[in-house]
Parts: sequence; C-alpha cells; structure tokens
Amino acid sequence: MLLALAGAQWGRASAQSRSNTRPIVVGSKPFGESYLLCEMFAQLLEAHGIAVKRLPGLGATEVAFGAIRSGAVDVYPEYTGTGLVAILHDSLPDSLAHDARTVFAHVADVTAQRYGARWLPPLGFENTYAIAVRRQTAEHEHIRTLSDLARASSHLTGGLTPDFIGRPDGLAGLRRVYGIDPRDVRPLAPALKYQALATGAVDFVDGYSTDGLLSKYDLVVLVDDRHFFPPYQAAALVGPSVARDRPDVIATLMLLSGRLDETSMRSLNRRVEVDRENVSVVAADELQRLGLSARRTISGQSAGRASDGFTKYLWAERATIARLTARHLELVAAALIAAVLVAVPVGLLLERARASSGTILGTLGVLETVPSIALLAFMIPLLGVGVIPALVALWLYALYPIARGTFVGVRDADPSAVEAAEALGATTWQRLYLVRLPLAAPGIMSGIRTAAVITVGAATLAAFIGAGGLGEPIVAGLALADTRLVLSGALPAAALALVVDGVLALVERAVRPAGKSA
Amino acid sequence: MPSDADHHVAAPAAVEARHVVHAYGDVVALDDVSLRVPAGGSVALVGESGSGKTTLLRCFNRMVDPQHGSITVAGNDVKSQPVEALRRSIGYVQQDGGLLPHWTVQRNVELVPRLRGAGDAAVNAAGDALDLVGLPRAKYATRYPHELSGGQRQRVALARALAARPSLILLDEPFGALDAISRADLHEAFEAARAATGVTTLLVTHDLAEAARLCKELVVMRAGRIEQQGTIQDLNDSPATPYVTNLLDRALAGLERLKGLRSEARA
Repeated sequence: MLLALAGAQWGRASAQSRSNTRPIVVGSKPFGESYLLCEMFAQLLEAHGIAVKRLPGLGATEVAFGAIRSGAVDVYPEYTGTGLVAILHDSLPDSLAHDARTVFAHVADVTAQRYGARWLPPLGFENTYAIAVRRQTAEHEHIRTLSDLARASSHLTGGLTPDFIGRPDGLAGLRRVYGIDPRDVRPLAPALKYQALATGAVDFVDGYSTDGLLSKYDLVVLVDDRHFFPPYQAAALVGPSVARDRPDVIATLMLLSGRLDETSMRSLNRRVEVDRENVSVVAADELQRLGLSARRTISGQSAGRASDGFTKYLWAERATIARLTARHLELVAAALIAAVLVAVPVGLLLERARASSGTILGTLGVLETVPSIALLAFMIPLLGVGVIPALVALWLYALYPIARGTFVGVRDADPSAVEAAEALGATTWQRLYLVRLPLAAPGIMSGIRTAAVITVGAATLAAFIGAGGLGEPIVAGLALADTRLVLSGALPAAALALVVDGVLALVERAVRPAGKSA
Repeated sequence: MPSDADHHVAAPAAVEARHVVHAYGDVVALDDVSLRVPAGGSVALVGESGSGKTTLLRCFNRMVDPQHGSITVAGNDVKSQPVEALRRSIGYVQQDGGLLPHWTVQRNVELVPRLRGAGDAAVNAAGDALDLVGLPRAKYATRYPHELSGGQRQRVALARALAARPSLILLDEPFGALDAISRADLHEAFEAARAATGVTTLLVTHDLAEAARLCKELVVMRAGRIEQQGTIQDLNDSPATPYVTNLLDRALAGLERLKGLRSEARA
C-alpha cells in the first residue's frame, strides 16, 4: 500500500520536478544548531512560496550526505571542515588548510565535480570544535591550550560525541597531532555533554563554538595552538537536481548567505538549548529580525513553552502527533502486509520441505538478532534514505515471527484430521484450505501479532534514516536532551503498540475456528 | 468422464490384492501377499503389530502404493483412476477417528458427498448416515467433536465413511481406543450399518473376538505374510500353521475363566 503510494509519489515527483512544483526536502543532523538552520531554510523557502518538506534528525554525516546523493534530501546545513574531512576524505597542504576562503573554494569545487552537489556561499559564521574543560580543571592543571591538555590527558576522561570519535578530524586527529591520550573516552549524545562535564562525570568534551550551553556552565574553551582543526564555515549544501533545475530555490537560500554571525548563532542556540524554546519560533524570530520574512510563521505548531505541563504540551502538539502517528501506522501496515504476503507462503512451503526448514528458519531468525538500527543503516548504501529502505528493513524484521508462526501452526495442525481428509479424497489444495489453514489460523495470527508489535517498536528507528513517524520527536528529543519531546514520540508509540495488538487480538478471535477446545 | 456426483448407492465391490510387496527402507512390511474378498463380503485382517495388516489395508485406498503387485477394486486397478476419485468411493475409519475438530458433526459427515459434488443432497445423505449409526441427527448434527464421548466420535467417523454409500469400507482398528462397553455398543451399531448397506468390508484388528463377531472371514497375518484365510471355524478346525493355533489359544485363554462362571451358574 505504502509502496504504491511511494510509487505514485515518485511519478508525481518526476512530473513536478519538470514543472518545478515538487516540495523541497530540507534535512538536518540531530543537534540544536542544525535543527535551527534547517528550520530557517524551510521557513525562508515557504515565505517565497516554495513548498517544503522537513526531514530533520538524520543520524550522521554519512546519512545526511547519502541522502543528498540519493536525492532523498535536497538541502541541509553543513560545515566546510566537515565537508573537507568527513565527506571528501580530503586534506589540504598546511599552508592553505587554515584559510577559510581557500577551504571553501576547494570543498565547493571538488564536491561539485565529484557529486554535482553545490555549496552555497557561507552563511557568515564558523562553528568549530571547542574542546572545553571546567574552570577548576583549567586552573588546577594549568590547562589553556590543547597542548596543555595533552600533557595532562593521561589522567583525564573525555566525553565525546560518537561523530567526533569516528572522524579523522576528531579524536584520531587530536591523538596524532597533539598526543592527547585520555585515560578513558565515553561516547555521549551531543546535548548531554555539558551536563556530564559540569557534574564531573567527564573532564573534557568536544563542544561546538556556537553551542548555547557553553555560556551556561563555567567552562574554559582550549586554544587550538597547533591549528589542527580546519575552518568550519556553515553553509547550505544543495543536492544535484536542485542545483541544476531550481534557480529559484538557490536564489532564495542565498538570501541567508553572509547574514548570520557567531554572536547571534550563540544566542539563538541558547534560546533553543537552554531556554527550551520551540525551534520554529526561534527560527521565525530571527528571519523576521533579518527582514527576510514578512511575518512570524508558526508552521502549524503553537508556541509551547518549557513551563507548560506535559499534558498541555501534548494537547498543543496534537496535530503533529496525529500526523506522525498516521505516518508511523502507514509504515507498520505496509511492512506488515508485505511481510504476511511473503512469510505465510514461505511458512507453508517450509512445512512441506521439513528437511530444509531448520536452515531457512534459522537464517531468517538471524535477521532478528541484528540490531534494528544496524539493519536500517545497512540499507543506506543499497537503497538510500527515506521510506523505501525503512520499509525494506521493517519487512525483513517482520518475516521471521510470521514464517515461524505459520510453519508451527500448520505443522502441528491436528495431523490425524489432515490424514483423514486425505484418505477420504481431499486434494492437496482442499486439505490446505479446508483443514490445515483453518486449524493453523491461531498460530499464524499469533506470529502476526508478535511481528506487529515488533514492527511498531522498530519503526521508531525509521526516523534515523528519514522515514518519519513517531521516531522523529524521539530522535530530536535525544539530540536536544528534551525529555518532553522524547516522550511525545515514545508514549504514542507505546499506545500504538497496545492498540495494534488489541485489534489483532480481535482478528485472531474472529479467525479462530469454532469447535476447537480451549 | 463420469460425474463424481453419484447419487445412486454404489454396488458393493469385490477387491483383490495380487502378489503385493512393500518395504519401508530395510523393513519388509508386505512379502508377496495375495487376498480376495467377494462383493459384499467382510474380512478381518488380524495379527500382531508389525504384521503388515495396516499396510495392506492402506493399499486399497492408495494411502500406500505397494512397490510390487496389483490392487484391484471392482475389477479395476486402483491406479487406473485419479487417486481422489478412488478415495471418494471408499469409506475409511481411523483408530482415532480423525474428525475435523473445527467442523460440526453434520459438516464432518457431509465431507465426502460434498467432495463428490452432491451439493444440498449431501445434507440428507449425512442425516441418513447418522441415523444409520444410531446418532439421531436432530440431536447430534450441530455438535462439535470435542463435545462428544469417544464412542460417539467413532460413530460419527463411521457415519462419515458411509455417507456417500461407498462400494468398499476400510477400518483401521476403529474400536481399539474404546472401553469394553463402548466397544460392544459400537459392534452392534456397526453390524446394523453393515446389514443395511451390504458394503464390502475390510477391518484391521488385533482382537480375535471382535474379528470373529464382525466379519465372515479372517486373514491371519504375520511378518508381512498371510498365515491363513478362512472363517473362524476353519481356523479352529484346520489351522494352517502352529501360529494360528497359538493365536486362537491365547484369545480363548482369557475367556475360559469367564465361560466357567456361566457353566457353574447353570450347574
């Protein structure tokens, strides 16, 4: 069903792109400034009459840029340094590596050549890594620069984002260039870093220079005395088809180039991360202040404040939650139906070919052991990001319980009744639909119910690869350390699982053949 | 092609097995077995477990296809027609009944007539069969198998086997799982049904007394071979092998003490 929908959307999209009316997909990575810039891009485009679809919270640089390449996302905010090191896996000779303009020109050139994607002129500010320690640590250990940190690092613990740990311009680079070798390294979600630092759980963190939380705690940002980090100028990164076919989009987005600076970004980030204001409100305010939009756009959300009670917040967000729940349900239903269509016949076939059933069921079972996020990530190089890879991953997940339920249900279905039907002249097909399937129905339904509940849960992870659904607020909430946001996705998801299970229980009762003893 | 919807009562068929050989892997279940049953006749296959009696029975409705030899029903080789058509003209009763648990008694008994395309006529055919086995349709038609006692279930299985008025009925230890009293009741029901229909009967049992009561002739089997075929009188008067004598001796031994009670009472 959703595949048909996606197929129809595909057709409509290609028709629209010819007529320049398809919505522009704006993405973001899961941290505050990225959500903010995404929202600013989106509202700016909407103010100029261009339809927009938001796909925030894409798990990592690979996911976001992968989406640009596959066309699932049209634009997202990126940084030149990240472009150089993490996307192009490139480097520049030292003499050139620190000049922001050189780096931008180089990155823009190579990206356009290699991928057809276009870097729009920088937004006007830099957001570089700000390795930070508590003021007490700085004074006690006499640490002012990263070289100083290297000296003291053997008895310090680092709390670093997984992104930083994995990147060549991250931990590995610090080790190589400065000799920083911490006693322990703990991966932390971006929004939890500063709290962990402040409470003493870790001794230094990879902050971002425009983070709103930097000013909240008494921290010292260490000087990059060996100039290890490349420049990280923020800019809009646009995908090849928009770069080629939508000059209107390019022109609109370029209105923002050069208009932002570190000070204003820091205060905007403060409003989102510290004051817990709604991202779209903060974005709207800034656009208005810059004179780039006529009036304050609310984009369908009321200005919920952090001081609101949780229930009031849920009620205020009910339209969004309803939309996300509908999308979530669509994903689950499509994956489940597709899984039933394949897994039930597979279960029936396995029952006939008992010898190989063990191996095949075992293989399907292995799929269950793969963590769902890994399975979703595995889809990206194959199918890109968005609805299709999410559906494929969810479909794979649902196969095993249904196939197994069918197999066991049919295998155990009263063998003497099946034999009697055969002896009295029923054909193989007649035995199947008159006897075996009705008697196996409870077992099959049980498998489907299990699969359904698993799928509702796994579908929350679909948000990481841009498929939408109730995972979106969960991902955003985790990124922003906003428990309320997390719950606004998690609670409806849990409720959905219960409802789905309840409905299927009714179906199971209806399908249960009469006359069987309890 | 003759219609499957045969509404006439089929004439009882004569059946024959000729030089039948069948093995399960290394184990020889049937070792050159030949047997003839006249139309309307009744034969009991008796013997211990592993004697091949059930395997031989199942050759007649092709639940077993013997590796060598031929099986004919009403003069036709069983392989000369589609297997489903063959089976729909032969009644079959298993030891555990094999009723479909999700169907009512009525629907169970209607199975074969419906498979034969009888349509609504199946309803009456089933009702008649239920009456025949002593389960008045008004009371039992809408019940489910799990609501019935073991004896009642076997009656339904018997009714189901007879509903399409087959030319041959095969019974595989049909009363073995029942207690003595239910078994005696079922014996009466079976005799009545046979008297009414005259259907050719092949019955597998390990109970000599039951065999002697229900069937005209007995076929004693042992290790895949036929020891002797004949009436119980024949087996008694002129046993073909010591095994046959042994069989009768063992069957009678249990009854001696009980028979003594009757003669004491008369004395």
